[in-house]
Amino acid sequence: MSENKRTHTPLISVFKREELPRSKSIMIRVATFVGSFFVAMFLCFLVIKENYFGIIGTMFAGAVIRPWKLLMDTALLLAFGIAIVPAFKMKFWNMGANGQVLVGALVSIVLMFYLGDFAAKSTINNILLLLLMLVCSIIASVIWAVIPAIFKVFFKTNETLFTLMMNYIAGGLVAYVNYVLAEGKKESPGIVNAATEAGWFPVVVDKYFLPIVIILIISVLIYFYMSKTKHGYEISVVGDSINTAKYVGMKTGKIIIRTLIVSGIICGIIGFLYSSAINHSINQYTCGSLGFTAVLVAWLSNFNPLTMGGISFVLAFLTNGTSKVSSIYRLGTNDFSNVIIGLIFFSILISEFFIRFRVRINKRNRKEGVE
Amino acid sequence: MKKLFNLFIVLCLVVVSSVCLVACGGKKTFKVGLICLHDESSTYDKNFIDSMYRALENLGLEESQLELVTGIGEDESCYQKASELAQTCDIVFADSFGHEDYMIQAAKENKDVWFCHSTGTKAHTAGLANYYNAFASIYEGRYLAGIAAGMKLNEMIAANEITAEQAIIGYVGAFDYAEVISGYTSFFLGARSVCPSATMKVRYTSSWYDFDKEKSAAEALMQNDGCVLISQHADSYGAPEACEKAGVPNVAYNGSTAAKCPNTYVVSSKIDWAPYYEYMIQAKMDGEEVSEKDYTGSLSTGSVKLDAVGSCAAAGTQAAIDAAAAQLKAGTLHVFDINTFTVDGQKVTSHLADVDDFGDFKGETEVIKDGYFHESEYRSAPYFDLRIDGITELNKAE
Repeated sequence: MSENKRTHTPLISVFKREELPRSKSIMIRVATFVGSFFVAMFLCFLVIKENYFGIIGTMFAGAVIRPWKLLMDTALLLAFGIAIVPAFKMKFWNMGANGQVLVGALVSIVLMFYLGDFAAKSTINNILLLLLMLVCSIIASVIWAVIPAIFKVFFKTNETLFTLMMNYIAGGLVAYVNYVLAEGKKESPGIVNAATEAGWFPVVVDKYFLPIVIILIISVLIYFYMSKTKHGYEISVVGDSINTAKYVGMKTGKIIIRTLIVSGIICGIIGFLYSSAINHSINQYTCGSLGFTAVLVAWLSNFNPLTMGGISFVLAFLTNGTSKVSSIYRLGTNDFSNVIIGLIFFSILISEFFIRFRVRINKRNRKEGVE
Repeated sequence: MKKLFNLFIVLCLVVVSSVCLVACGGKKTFKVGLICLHDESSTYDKNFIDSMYRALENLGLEESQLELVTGIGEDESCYQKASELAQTCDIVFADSFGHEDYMIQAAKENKDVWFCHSTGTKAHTAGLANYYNAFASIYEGRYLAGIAAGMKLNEMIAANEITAEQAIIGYVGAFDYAEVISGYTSFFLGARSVCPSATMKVRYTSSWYDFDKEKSAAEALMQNDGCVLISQHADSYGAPEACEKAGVPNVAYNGSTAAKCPNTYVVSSKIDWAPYYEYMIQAKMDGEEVSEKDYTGSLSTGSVKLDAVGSCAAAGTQAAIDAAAAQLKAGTLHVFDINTFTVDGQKVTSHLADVDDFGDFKGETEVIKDGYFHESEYRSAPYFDLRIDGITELNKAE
């Protein structure tokens, strides 16, 4: 073997796998999830030192103790996923869903705060306020989403960093506006219009029912937008190769900006739902880390909305369940549940890697190289 | 593959739902929920948690009948946790002022469960049968602690360590809310009742719990502002530890700091929430109505307490505290007697306080009658917000 060849033989080679048989890949995923779940629960057991199956029982009971809350958490995670999918499919790494939702929610809250008295006068006024909140929320979120897109298109800035930074600006803006609304007397005005419920969504079946339905409708629409329309096709072409897109005459800049407008619209609707139907209040942490968790969800599900829904459910289930374990067994804050969820999803990510790639250790070549 | 994967998810849902149906047997034993802003590392929350355990013990309840959640912010997470606790608990308590809106929201949606919020202001106007506020006349405790501080200053003056004019008290406050103003004013009035030359300087940290900020504020008061004794209304050990390091006497709050600061600890006042917890839990267990929306604990109910005085305290401090406490209990001494303080050089004979908290921050209730400011009588949470002469605020809360 030549000297040149020896130095270029890596110890480990990673190859893209040919598609595994379906049954096998599903088996791997199921086994990983179930295995990591029980290992995580064993970790709980080591910390808590109480009945192992009792802990698992608490986990399951805690997850469904408020079924609508579980479904709402699922829907929200799905909504964030849906919001980033168009951009991600275009390989525009939008890490700013949190910020985009926050500014939308903030605009809605401000409108609720100042127009609360007007809306409380009649049902029609309330509907008008809700519509205004929706429109303004969408406009704010679209602006927040499009700014990084414009900079990317015209100045070739890095969208990952740009959208991340926009999150911090949005968070700061929320803290400042809260301070102004509370006239500096408190950190925030708390729940806005708690007495009059002006600017609040009507409660049908459950307070979370309508927002869940709206998110499901958006998910279906985005599924069709991505898979059945010309826009969706253009997005996938730009995502596959921006040069190909340019070669066939697509205006890539326009497509990027247009797609981020779509993302912004979805984020605006989520923000509107946060203010009008879910929280009725806002702070910097309203979205938690959903904008980032959604990246994981979207990636694991290969951008398939139905699968995204399933993974979102599993994640919401684990979050609610481990949160209950934390409180029942006095583990302090929810940090411990984050460790458990992190552990399970880290295992799943590893299994995904081995499903999609094959790893070969080049023993023979290395041996030759040493010789 | 995708179809099979989705099928797997659906199967999971079915299995999970059936397990949960078995697991959720509904409410069986009486359970109490307690939502805390921080954990035991905060002196403020530790006081609530310790009080709850004492209450459970006194009532003969098991510790397993308590569901304690800590680290719950003053935001939507409080509503979510309160709603979750409402599924398993009969009565839910929360300990931080900012939890109130979220507790009210949970109370509206869970009518069978009692929601009891300490330090809140809205129960008497919320119109909810299952929502309650509680506080204690801690200004009386602060006043008594102030007497200890004044006597310490007198001792320092007598020993020629300071002159009468140098009897400056430093106070580390969290925010410029009525709760803090009421606290430091009553503390100051207690000190001045025995040391007439005492004055006070206040620095705000704009945080209820920030060790470094509280420590820095105490250091600034001692080193730059000439303060010779420090007290605080913030929840970490920042100020007491800074005092211990500098050898400056410290009057603590929420619990004794004698163990950590043995050389500088004078005395500590605190609210003991156990009497309130016992009262509400017992009433809920017995199925009794509690018509008062506000519970104001006092020296008489055992809700306002002072820990044992430290070795740093002046001689005769305990006796002076006991004498004043007896007068306060008897109603012959009022902390906010309008003859003992002025505002801008004028005696205050009338004041509208913002008792009904509708977010307008405007006073609507006359609170000065019979020659004194009626603190914590029209609602449990403090509303004394006068800036009296002799106290200087050195910075603004942000």
